[in-house]
Amino acid sequence: MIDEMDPMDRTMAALSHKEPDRVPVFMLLTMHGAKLLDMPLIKYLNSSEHMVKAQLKMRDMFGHDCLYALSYAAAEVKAFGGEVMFFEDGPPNAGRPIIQVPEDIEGLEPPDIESSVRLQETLKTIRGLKEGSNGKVPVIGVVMSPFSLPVMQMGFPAYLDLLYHDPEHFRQLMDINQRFCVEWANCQFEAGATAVAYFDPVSSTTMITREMYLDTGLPIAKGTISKLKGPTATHFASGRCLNILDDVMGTGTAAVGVSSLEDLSLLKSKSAGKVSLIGNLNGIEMARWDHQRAEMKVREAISKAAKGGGFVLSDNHGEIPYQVYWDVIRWTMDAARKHGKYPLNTTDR
Amino acid sequence: MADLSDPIDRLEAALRAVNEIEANNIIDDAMGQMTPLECAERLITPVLRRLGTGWVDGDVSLSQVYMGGRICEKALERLLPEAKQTYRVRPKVAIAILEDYHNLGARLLLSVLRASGIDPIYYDHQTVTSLISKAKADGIEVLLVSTLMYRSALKVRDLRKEMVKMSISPVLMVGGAPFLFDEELWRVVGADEMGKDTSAAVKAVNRMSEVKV
Repeated sequence: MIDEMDPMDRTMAALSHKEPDRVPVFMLLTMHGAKLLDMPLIKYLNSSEHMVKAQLKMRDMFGHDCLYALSYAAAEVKAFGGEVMFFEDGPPNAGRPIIQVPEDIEGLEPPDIESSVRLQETLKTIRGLKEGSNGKVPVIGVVMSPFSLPVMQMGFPAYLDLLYHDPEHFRQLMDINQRFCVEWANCQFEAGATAVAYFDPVSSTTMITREMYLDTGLPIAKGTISKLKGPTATHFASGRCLNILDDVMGTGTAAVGVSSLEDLSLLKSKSAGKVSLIGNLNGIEMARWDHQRAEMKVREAISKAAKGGGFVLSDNHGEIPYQVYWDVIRWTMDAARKHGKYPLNTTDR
Repeated sequence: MADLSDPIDRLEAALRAVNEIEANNIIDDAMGQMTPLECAERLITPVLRRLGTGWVDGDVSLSQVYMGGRICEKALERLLPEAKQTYRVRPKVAIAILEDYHNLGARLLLSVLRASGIDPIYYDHQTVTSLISKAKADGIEVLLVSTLMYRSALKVRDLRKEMVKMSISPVLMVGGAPFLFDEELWRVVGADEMGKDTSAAVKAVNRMSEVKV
């Protein structure tokens, strides 16, 4: 029996491919804080004060192992001068693309983080979470990868056309986005983020071929991650990555967010001792889970990937949908405590 | 290794490689023996179906499906006027993005349908109310609804209720990430069918065309 650890030690042990007291759980709650504080999403997601309060309170309620500083992904586009559209019951979307034609890239500059109210609010959230948890709970920051940000900057179809047909503007955009991403991630480390999630869904083989990844997303990830002042977890936001996992390991990332669409046992056999896995509960299905299904899914994930450490239980998208009930979150945590204790119960496997 | 003497295999290989020149050559060769609509049905549709199925199985990327669809769409746009032929007009099909601003799935569907000889109305982003009103005014018989966000997928429930209230009954097919991650969701929200990939939409339209034309 291993003595009970705090979330920071538990997570660090797991990421070092050791078995802590139990499997750490990253409950990636963003919008639920608005429910907890009974306020509209637009008000909640734009306030570091509310986000810090709710993140700390939700961790007290459920006992999961991280504090999540993500407000919404489109915040980065807002910093670039773009519009954001809010909804009552889901994550905000980027509005009209800031790049209407490829030539717009020529006049684009990385945003000034210092003068961006939206980005400064996120840094305040990180500082507040670090202070409020006394450094005992990992604080997770978020950046969009330079390679995936263009989906919000110009729309996906136009970005695919750029990728295939306009290498010069693509290179220019990557240069701008990479400069911003490095600075933005390092600001989050300086504010107190323990690690930064590098969201890179376009690099997933759901979106592009491995060959294209080797030419584009991979060198961009290597060049970006090597300049960061702290650890990253690369997240494909429920996209597939089994066929590029060896390549992703070469970027220097500490962990990879994996999809429920892929076999967790196979992912584990490829990654054991080399890179940690984060996942892979199906967030969309979670909205309709009952107690029994929550327990079954948690037990299944743990039995496939938790042996030897190197595994953090989480959803597979990097954000739990607003429609997932509190009870489901509670049942998921209960099941993680029951089935995730090390040494693992071999009958569970 | 596939036998690349078969035009279907050769076109699939060209589209997987996003090789527009080679794809056009294969389509032009086929056109020597058939009309553009026959080419759409007998060559292009089966190839795009393979790509769609390959994407669901994780063997093909979305970028290949999208670029492949665009290449074939452009080829048919070029060939139909040359042959003084037009797209099939029945059943009346529309594509909409419901309460969502992510348009890749809908654009992809548009390309694949057009490359298959079907010319849908592209509604782009719509609310439940605006979509019902447009579908009613246009007499839509097959309504294809694309969503990326979970909240948008849940709005299909409201769409179905409004359809009943307004007494319109097109075949309602849904698609997009939420329906792939929860394969029961389309039933829960009251859709008639769910398309895991674009070929399901082509099949649904073809089925309707057999019944109604």
